[in-house]
Amino acid sequence: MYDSLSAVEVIINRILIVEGNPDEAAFLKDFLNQNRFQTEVTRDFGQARSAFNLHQPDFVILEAILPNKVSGFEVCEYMKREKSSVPVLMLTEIDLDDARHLAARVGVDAYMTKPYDPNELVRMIRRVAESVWQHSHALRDNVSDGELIRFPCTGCGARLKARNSHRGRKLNCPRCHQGVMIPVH
Amino acid sequence: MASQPLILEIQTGKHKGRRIRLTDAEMTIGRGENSSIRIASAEVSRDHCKLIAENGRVRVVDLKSRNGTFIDGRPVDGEKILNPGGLLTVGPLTFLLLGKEEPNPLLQDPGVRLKGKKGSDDNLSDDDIAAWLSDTDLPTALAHELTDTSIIKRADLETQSNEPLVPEPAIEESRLSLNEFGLPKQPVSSDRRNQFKSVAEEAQEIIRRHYESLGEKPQS
Repeated sequence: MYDSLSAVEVIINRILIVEGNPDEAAFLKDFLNQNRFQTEVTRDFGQARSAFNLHQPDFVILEAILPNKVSGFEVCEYMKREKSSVPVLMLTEIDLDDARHLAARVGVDAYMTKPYDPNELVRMIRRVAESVWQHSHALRDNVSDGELIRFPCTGCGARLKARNSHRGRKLNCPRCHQGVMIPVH
Repeated sequence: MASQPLILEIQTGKHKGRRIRLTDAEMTIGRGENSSIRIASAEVSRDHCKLIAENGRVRVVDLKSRNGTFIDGRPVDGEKILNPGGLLTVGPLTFLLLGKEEPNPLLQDPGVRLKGKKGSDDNLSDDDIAAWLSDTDLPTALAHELTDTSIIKRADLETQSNEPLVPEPAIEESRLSLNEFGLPKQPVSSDRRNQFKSVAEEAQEIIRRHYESLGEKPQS
C-alpha cells in the first residue's frame, strides 16, 4: 500500500488542525481532505492536547490566536515538549516580527500568515514534514539517504534495518513475517 | 478595447487603496481555484461573478452566486454596468472602480504609482506585480476586514499594458530576514526575551499589539 506513496505522504497521514474560527477550520479541513490528508479539528488548547496525545497526529497546523486564554504559542511549546518530531506549522493572522521570533523559540517549524494560498500551504506542509524528518532522523543520526536505519519489528522485536530512502515503506519481518512499516518518525 | 487601464481599488483593511488592474478579457471572482481573483470566504461562491472591462467601464455578470453581487449596494440581477466611481461588493469585500471621474487618484496613493512607458521600471515582470499582490499586501489588507476570509490569492494582471502598477517599497515596515519556512534567520536578542516572564505573557502582548494594529479589541 505504501509503495505508491512518497515518503512524505506517508509521514503526514493525519493532520491536527488547531483553529478557533469554525469557518477557517472547515475550509482548511475540506481543502486538506481533498488533498488526501486525514484531518482532525480542535479549537483550543484542551481539545488539541487530548487529540495530540490520543491520536498522535503526523502534522499540526496551529493558529496563534485561540479561545480560552491559551495561545497557539503555548500549545506549540507543549507539543514540542511532548513529541518534538511532530512538525508544527503556525498558520495565523498575526504578521508581526515578534510573533515569528516567539514562534521560532517555542519550536514552530514553519510560519504562514493568513490569508494564504492553500496550494502553497500544501507545498509548505510537504517541505516542512520532509525537513523535520530529515532533521530528527537522518541528520541527527548522521545517516545519508542511501545508508541504513535500524528499527525493531513491531511484531517480534527483531532488530531490522532498511535503507534510509525507504522510510515509510513496508517490509515483511524475516523472522515473524509480519508486515512492518519502516519508521518515519 | 479599453484605451485606459481599469483599476479596482480595495476599500477595506489597513492597505485600503491598493489596486488591481483589470484586463480587457473576462476575469472572474470566486472561491474556486480557476478564479482570477480568489476569495476563500463562506460568503463567496466558487464562481461568484465575472468582470468584463469594456469602454472604460466594467460589465459585471453575477454567476448565480448564493449571496449575490452588489453594485453601489444594489444587487446585480443577471448583469449590470459598474461605472467609474462605483462600488462593487462581492461577499465581504468592496472595491471601488477608478476611472476618469477620479481626481488623479494614482498620485494620491502613497503605496502605488504608475510608471510611464519609458520609466525606469519597465522591466518589472508580471511575477513581481503578482507577488506584490499575492504574498503580503493585498491579502493582509483584506484579512483584517474579514473574519472568515482565508485567501485572496492573486489577480491576473494586465500584461500587455505599458503602465504596470508598481509598489512603493518605502511604506513597508522593516521585515525580518526569513528562512524558507517563514521564520527569522537570526535569533531574537536576549533583551527582548527578558522583558517577559513567560511565553504566555509574551504571546498575550503580541496578540494585543496585533489587534491594536487592526484597530480592534482583543477577542475574549
